[in-house]
Amino acid sequence: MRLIRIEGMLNHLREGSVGIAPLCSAECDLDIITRVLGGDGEAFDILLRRHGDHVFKIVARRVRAEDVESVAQEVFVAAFRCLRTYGGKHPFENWLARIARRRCCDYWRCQERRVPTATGPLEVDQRAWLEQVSSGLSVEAFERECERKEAVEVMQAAMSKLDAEDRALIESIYFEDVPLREVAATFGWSLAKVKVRAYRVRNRLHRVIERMVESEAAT
Amino acid sequence: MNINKAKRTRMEQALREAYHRQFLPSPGAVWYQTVMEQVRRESLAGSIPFLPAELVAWRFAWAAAAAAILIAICGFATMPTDAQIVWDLHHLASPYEWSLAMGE
Repeated sequence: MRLIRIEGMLNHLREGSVGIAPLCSAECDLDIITRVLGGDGEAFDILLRRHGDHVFKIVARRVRAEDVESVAQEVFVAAFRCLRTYGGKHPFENWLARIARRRCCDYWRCQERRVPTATGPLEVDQRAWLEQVSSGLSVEAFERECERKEAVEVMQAAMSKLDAEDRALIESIYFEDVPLREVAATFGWSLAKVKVRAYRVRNRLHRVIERMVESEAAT
Repeated sequence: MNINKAKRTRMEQALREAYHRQFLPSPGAVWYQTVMEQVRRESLAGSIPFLPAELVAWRFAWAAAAAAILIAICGFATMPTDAQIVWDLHHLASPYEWSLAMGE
C-alpha cells in the first residue's frame, strides 16, 4: 500500500516536472514535507533520494573521506528532526545545504577538540607543485597542474591549519561562491560580521600559504 | 621563494581549483537505507507522547507561582502577632511549656 502511494507520488512528481522545473520542484518538496509532517514518515525517502546526492557532495568536499557517510546521514536526520522549522520561503535544497554546512563546521570543531591539527612539512612533490603553480603558467598548464593529486593534498594541508569556522568561511565564500547573505543565515551572523570575518580569513589563508612556502624554503 | 601578490593569488586560485577537482563519492543504496532506518527510529521516538521536562516545567510554572503566593499568604495569616507572643511568654512561664505550646 505504502509502495503504491510512493509510486503514485513519484508519477505525480514526474508529471509535474515537465513544466517550469525549479518552481515545480519546490512545490513538490513542500507537498512531501506536508505529508511527512502529517505523519507519513516514509515520504521522507523521496526527499532523501532527491537531495541525497547534492548533500553528499557538499559534505564530501568538506570532511574526511571516511566520515562523509556519517556526516551526511546526520544532516538528513537533523533535517527530519527540525522539518517543522522549514518555512518554505527558500528552496528546500538551500535549507538542506545550510544544515550540511553547519554540520561540517561542527564536525571540524569536534575534530579540533579530539585531535589537535598537526600536519607535517610538505613533501617534495607537493613543494614542487606549489612552486609550479605560483610561477606564471599558461591556462592549460595551470589546469593540468590543478588536476594533480598534490593539488588536493596541499589544499587539505592549508585548510587543516585553519580553525573550523575559518575553514567553513573559506570553503563557502572563496571556493564555492556562496552569497554572503546565505553564509550569514547559515551561521546566524550579521552580514557585517561575515564581511569582516571573510576579509580576515582570507588574509589568514594567505599567511598560511606564505608560512608553508617559507618553511619549505627553510628546509 | 619570494611571494608577491600575483604569486599568492595564483596559489589561492590553484587551491580553489583543487577544491573543485576533489574526488566526490556518490551515496550508495546502503547509505539511503541506513538513513531511512535512522529516520524511522526518530519518527517512532517522536510519536511517544512524553513531554520534555522543560515543557512540563513551563506549562506548570504559573501553577507553581500561584501555589507559592497562596502558601506565603497563609503563612502570614497564621503567624502570631507580637502582642500574642508577649502574652504567651508572660503566661507560659517556662521556655519548655512555651515551646510545647508552639507545638515543637
